[in-house]
Amino acid sequence: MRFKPKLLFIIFCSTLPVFAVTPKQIVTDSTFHRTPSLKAAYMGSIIYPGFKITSEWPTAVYMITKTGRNREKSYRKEKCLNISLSMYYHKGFHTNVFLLAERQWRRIGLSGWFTEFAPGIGISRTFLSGITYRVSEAGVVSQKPLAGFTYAVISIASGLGYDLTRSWNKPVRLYARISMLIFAPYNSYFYARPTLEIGLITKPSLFNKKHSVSNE
Amino acid sequence: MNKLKAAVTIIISLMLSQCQNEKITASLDTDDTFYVENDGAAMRVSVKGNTQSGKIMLIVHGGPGGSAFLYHTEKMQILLEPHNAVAYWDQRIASASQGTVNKETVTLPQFGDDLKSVIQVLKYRYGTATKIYLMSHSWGGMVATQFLTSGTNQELVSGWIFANAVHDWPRNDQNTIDMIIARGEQEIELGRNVAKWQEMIRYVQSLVFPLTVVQSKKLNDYAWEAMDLIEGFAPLNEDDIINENLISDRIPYTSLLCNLLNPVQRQLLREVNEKSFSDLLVNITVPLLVCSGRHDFVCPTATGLDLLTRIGSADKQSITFNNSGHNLEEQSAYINAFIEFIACH
Repeated sequence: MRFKPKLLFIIFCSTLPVFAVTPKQIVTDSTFHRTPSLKAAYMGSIIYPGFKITSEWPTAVYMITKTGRNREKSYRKEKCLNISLSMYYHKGFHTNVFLLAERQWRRIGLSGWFTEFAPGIGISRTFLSGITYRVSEAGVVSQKPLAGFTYAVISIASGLGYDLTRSWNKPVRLYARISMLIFAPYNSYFYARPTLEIGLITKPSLFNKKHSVSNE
Repeated sequence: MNKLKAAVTIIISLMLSQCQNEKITASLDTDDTFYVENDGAAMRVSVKGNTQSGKIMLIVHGGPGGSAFLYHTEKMQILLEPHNAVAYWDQRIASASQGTVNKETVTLPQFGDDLKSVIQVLKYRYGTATKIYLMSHSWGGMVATQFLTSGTNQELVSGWIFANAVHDWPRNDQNTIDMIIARGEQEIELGRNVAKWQEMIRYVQSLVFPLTVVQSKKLNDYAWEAMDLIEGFAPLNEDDIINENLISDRIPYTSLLCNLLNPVQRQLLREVNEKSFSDLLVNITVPLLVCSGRHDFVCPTATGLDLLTRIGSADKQSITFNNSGHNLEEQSAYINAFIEFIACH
């Protein structure tokens, strides 16, 4: 026990490099266009298909340069607000349509590769995959049209992609990401569903035109 | 804009497709899936097999929180479905059943009421003359007994198959205790797994009724372990059925898992922990087939025999399968017994 303060001091000193601050230069990219991008993706799992359409609104873009001992590392950081409409079809279970608002952080390296992380919240409406019957207290059976349930959704997504802008000279990015969708209250609890999303991000000409008008 | 309109049209037509009236025709190879909504729960029912026979065996699955899908085995498809139809019903808060179920509706009487609704819908779809046979397994025995002892419900069914099931929770716990002691002592004499059997016997001998939910759960865990210790017997693992069908659209695994982990299941176990239907069994008069597995420690043979002696039915029989545990291991033999029972009634 006598040696404990010494030991703690040694451990503390050994962790100091972890806290060492790498010189970092952050430059806000004031030239970025506040025009939305359009994300279109296949979204589902191995055998349950679906799609996701997202409108991605950039809120801030930074160029960050980190100076290390021997080299300089630069990357671009984008913050976006996403609004998406998704749907998947699970045969024999349900069709689920949901609207999500996501906050997205993306980091793009000079090579063009990027990673992104996006938590979100939203609302979902399921449509049961099959005719749904109800039985009244008198024992009369009837069909319930558009049977399904409304749930709140929480989503956490993480993915990676590649920016083809330089090589193609067109604003196209390819990406893939894994999401965990949590629907609640599902039977007084929650329902979790992992999904895979593969798609592309582009700036449609429709939005670009609007942007150019607003700049004039 | 035209593309957008087309996309919206596709989505709306997909949603509306389920509004169309389904054409129901009896066939030798029916494969229907529909839902029955009752008190916040939308419960999936899959009907497969020969509906032309006018006879449907309705699975009342184990659990709570199990899945009817687990009974949809290859042998069920090959042996039983060509003779009769089978209705695979997922109970509330189980497997593919979904909804916004309120905790207050997770009670045994509600499960009995759900079963009644499912039978009414089956008769509505396939004809009022359709004969329904309940096949209750494990926990499903409690649901079926609840249903059959309520009002005039038993008039809706033509027979009851009680396969490795339970109708009296405390009595079944006592039967498990007796079986662990009896078989344990035999195994210890033979010098097999002595330490484990001694541990189990010590535990079950320390129990005093009424058992708590925790004690009942631990007793159940020991019952499963005991089956694994029986030499020359290989219990059927439900996980194997799940793994074999992992890439199929027959079961939503994430829903099964979330429903299984739902804390409401515990609330249900608290309710049934001291539940006994023994005194009401005399009112049940439907034909009965009791099937038991000799190595079943979870719902021992003694539980089935107790039901047989107490029930009011004049037409009743019992079969014990010598090389089976809890999960109907001798499937062909079980299914052939079901077919014969249904054919005779």
